[in-house]
Amino acid sequence: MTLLRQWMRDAWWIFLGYIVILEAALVAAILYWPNFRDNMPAIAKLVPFDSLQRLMESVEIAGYWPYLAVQQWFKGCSLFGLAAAAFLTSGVVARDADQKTAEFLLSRPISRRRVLLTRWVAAASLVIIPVYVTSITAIWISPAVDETLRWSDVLLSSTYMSLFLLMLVTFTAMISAMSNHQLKAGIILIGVILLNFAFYLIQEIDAISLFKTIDVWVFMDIQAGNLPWITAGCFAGATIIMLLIALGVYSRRDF
Amino acid sequence: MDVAAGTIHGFVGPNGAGKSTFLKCLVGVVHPDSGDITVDGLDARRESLKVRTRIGYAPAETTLYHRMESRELLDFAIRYHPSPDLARGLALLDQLEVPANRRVGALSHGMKRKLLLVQAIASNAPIMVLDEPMEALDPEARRIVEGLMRDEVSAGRTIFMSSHDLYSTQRLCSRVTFLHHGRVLRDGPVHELLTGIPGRLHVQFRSAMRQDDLPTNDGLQWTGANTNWQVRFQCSLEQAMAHLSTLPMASIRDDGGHLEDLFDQLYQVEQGVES
Repeated sequence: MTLLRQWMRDAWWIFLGYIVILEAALVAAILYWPNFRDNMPAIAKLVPFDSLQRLMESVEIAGYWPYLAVQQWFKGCSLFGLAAAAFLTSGVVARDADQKTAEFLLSRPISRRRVLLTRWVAAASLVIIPVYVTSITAIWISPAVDETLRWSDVLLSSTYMSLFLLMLVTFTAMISAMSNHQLKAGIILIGVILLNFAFYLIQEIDAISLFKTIDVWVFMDIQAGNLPWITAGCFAGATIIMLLIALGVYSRRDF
Repeated sequence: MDVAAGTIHGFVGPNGAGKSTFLKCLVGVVHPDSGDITVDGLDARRESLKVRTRIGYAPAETTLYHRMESRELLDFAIRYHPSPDLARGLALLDQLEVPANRRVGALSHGMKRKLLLVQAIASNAPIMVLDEPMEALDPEARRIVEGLMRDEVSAGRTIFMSSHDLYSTQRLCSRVTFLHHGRVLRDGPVHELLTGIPGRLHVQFRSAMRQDDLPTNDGLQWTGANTNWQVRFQCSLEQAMAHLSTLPMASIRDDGGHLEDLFDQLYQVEQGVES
């Protein structure tokens, strides 16, 4: 039993649940597209908040691609990816502290850096792989509703979304490295994201919301060939900084 | 304090003395505020990983990965050591009657204690650090574990163990360190530590006795009731026996010169000083 297998054993079922839900939500959304397209004016009247109405406008203007971007990346990956990140990553360090297994684990001849990196890579992979798998599914299923998607648009959008989720995974790992309770790390992540979503719904302050970086206009830019390099670079930079903080905190912690 | 290679060294003290904290410092789970710990010439703080390759550690905490089976936990515990012996570990699980295929979460406290000891042995590391290895073990298991520990030392390994079981400590250890509030209170070979410790006899009388019936010459101190009494004495055993010779004794047993007496003496003095 290796460190990776020990970690994956607990994470496996969460991963399976996450990918099945994400896949089911996407397939349902794609198959619903013809109905949605035909009833768009009526549906638009039901949508609350200016921010969400702007999402509807983008769909009315540009059709299937913004609809898919909202369903798959803005809603599906951020919502279910957030939940997966909270479940899979909050225990990277805090679970051992919480369950009192830290002393047993850390007295083995294995470095704390290796423990954290192994689990971080595993958690990040389990959160990100479904983003690609389900996005590729969208390419295959879209012809069923008389739509086509370009591989490059889908893969670039998935990569961008993965960088966003990687940042959330690393944020959770950092909180986990500081925490004695797994639940606390997960709740902090969910709290931060809910706060950001609340900001997103208020037009005057939506620019400071993380959701502004993954809303439909960003994915429409990606389709138009304008890649958001600076934002993606910020995601990567924040990920590296938070990972270094997590490693530093973990290596100095007493259990 | 020094722990000699190829010996069993006991580490004793009341709750909160700092025994487990020190052992955690030794294996890098806790970072010491000050001081130095050297293991085989390696600095335990700066070269913690190398130090841990030389130590098979059994923590006092028996909360383990509960979803793993015993054999999986054993494999996980030892696989990062340089020369683990899984086959030996499985044989020891069998010998100690720990079910190899049962989930750790379903094992009793004593079974988990045995599992922890087994993984420390099967790590094949030259040093074993055991935190409360006798806790929760039944008398038969204690005998087996004591035998295993003696075998390991005979094979050239070093054992450093903390324990509240002073009878096992006295039987096993060649040297003992007493700790109090994180500082060494007394340290030395067991036979030297016991020099000057009051004697103790367990006496069973043929009929019930009262405190007033019992002699107190030469500082004899009695505790007990009815027919079962224990007497402590500072004088020689011969003198004590002479004082007891007129009493209606059914049986008498020498319980004296024990680490527990030294423990009482040391910590009563310390508590007296503090108060």
